[in-house]
Amino acid sequence: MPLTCPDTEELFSRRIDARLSSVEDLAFIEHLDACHSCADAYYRYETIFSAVSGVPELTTVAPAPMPADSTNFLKPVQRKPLVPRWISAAALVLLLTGVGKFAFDFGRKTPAVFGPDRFSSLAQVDPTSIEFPAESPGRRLRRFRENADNLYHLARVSKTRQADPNRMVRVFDDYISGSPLREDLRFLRDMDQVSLGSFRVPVRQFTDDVGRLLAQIDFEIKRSGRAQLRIRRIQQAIERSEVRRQSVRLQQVSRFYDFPEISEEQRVTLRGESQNRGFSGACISLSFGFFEDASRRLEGVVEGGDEGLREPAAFFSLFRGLSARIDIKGEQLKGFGDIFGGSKLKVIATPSATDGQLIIELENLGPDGPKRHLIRFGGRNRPQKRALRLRPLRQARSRRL
Amino acid sequence: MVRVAEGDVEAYEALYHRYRNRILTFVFRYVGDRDIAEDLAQEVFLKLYRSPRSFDPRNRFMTWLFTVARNLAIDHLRKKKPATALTQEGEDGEFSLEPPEPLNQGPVDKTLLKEMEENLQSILMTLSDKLREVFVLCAMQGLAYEEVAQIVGCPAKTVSSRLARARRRFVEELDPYLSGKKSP
Repeated sequence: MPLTCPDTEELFSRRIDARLSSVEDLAFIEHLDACHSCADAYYRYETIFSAVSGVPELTTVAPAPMPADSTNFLKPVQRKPLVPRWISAAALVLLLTGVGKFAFDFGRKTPAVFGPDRFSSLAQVDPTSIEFPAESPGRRLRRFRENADNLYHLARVSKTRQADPNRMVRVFDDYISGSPLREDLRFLRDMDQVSLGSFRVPVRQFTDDVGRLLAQIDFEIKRSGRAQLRIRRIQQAIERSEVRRQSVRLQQVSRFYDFPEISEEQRVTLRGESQNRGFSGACISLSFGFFEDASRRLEGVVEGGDEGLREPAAFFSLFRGLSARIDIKGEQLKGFGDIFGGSKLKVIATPSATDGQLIIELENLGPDGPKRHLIRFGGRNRPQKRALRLRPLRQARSRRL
Repeated sequence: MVRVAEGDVEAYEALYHRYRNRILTFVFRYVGDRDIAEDLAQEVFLKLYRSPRSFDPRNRFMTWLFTVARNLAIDHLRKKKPATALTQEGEDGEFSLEPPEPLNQGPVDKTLLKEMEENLQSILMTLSDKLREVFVLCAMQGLAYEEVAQIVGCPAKTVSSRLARARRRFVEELDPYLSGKKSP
């Protein structure tokens, strides 16, 4: 049953926590596909709370508190006193009466045990190194998601093109053995998933499902029998799995980690990231903080890749900071067709030296010749939040995968 | 934690260094005062130090620690409440505190994120205690609904609905800044 706008708004919170059931999620996406204002409101909502969750923690340098009566702390382990109590008492009397200085230290806290030296060495431990492993889960997850997505696209392409089944089996075999899917799967399963916060459960479900799917595909690749039947079973396994849907739901997780640092004049190839929520054809999301650091210029090229193997939308994480979304007009950039046709989308983001504007130049190097789009953000006289007002496309629905 | 219960001081210190910032941030977001938050965070760890056996190993350590922190923060707010102006009744019938200070007046060309970071605490303090604790634990500390439910002692569904209300209120509070009606 289709959702109404108020119903959809009720789901916003659970949606950004990835707590919707697949049925609810589908209805939600369908509603956003049809309702421009809800799509806008949801994007804004998501942007705000992504930013909230990224607000850094406070830090303290205070040492671990330990009270003077620290003997309480040790009580639980002293199930059997090592020496009888009368001996302890006698020793204490001796200490108190005989060796004044030591007795004084003993009665308080001995610096060797509780003093600042121990704390200073521990204070140097960077808490982030404990919370987040050096090998970031976000980076792994992003790559894992891309590779899992590509399996889905491979299945789609193999179906629509009616390619030679033997060849397609080999393509699946090559892809799975050549990609780091298994390695990433092991990493994501074994890592300390606490750092993923509320995404822990969906990430676990996703990795489990991909693991099962890989096992199924592996089985079909290795078994004997007609290639046509085997490839059909692989296609069915992929299409029936929840992997694709989960991957889209998890895209938010990748955003929280690993925003690449771009140095001055560095040329980067920006990899595509699914940003297609079902209501927008070709869109590009940018996270940027150019206004803070206006001396930098970023230039990138989105490459089309093999047909069907990449999402048309690209997610660029240039800098930590404000998120904005740019939608390229459907009539100028024809979504999937243009990018998958081997064309390139050149992106040049230049902070204007004069008034702090960010100018993003999109150049579609398609077969029909270059087409240019200039998008301007900000400027000293215009608040940056206007950048959030760009509207998503609606007419791209028919081109969705 | 087992090692802490057995009196291992190093294990205690390691736990402290691992969780101190999270607990401090949580308490600060809850009570809205950095100095008090520092004191309360220290008290949380003192409690851990003094009675490590009160932790049930069947539960998750972090959940337990947040529960202790929350209880201390509530105790503090209860003590403080009579002196504070009670302004509006929350949706659960509870009272919410008046914002302690006016929202920050920053320059116009600050980014939205920065602006929000600056005003975050003031906006949080406009939420009722119940909404605020769920918001901080779920939306900021990234805990699962079930874990928060255990900490605050209510069903996960209640956590979900409180979080949705808190987020709605948060957006409402933020809205004047985004739409430019309230010039920062």
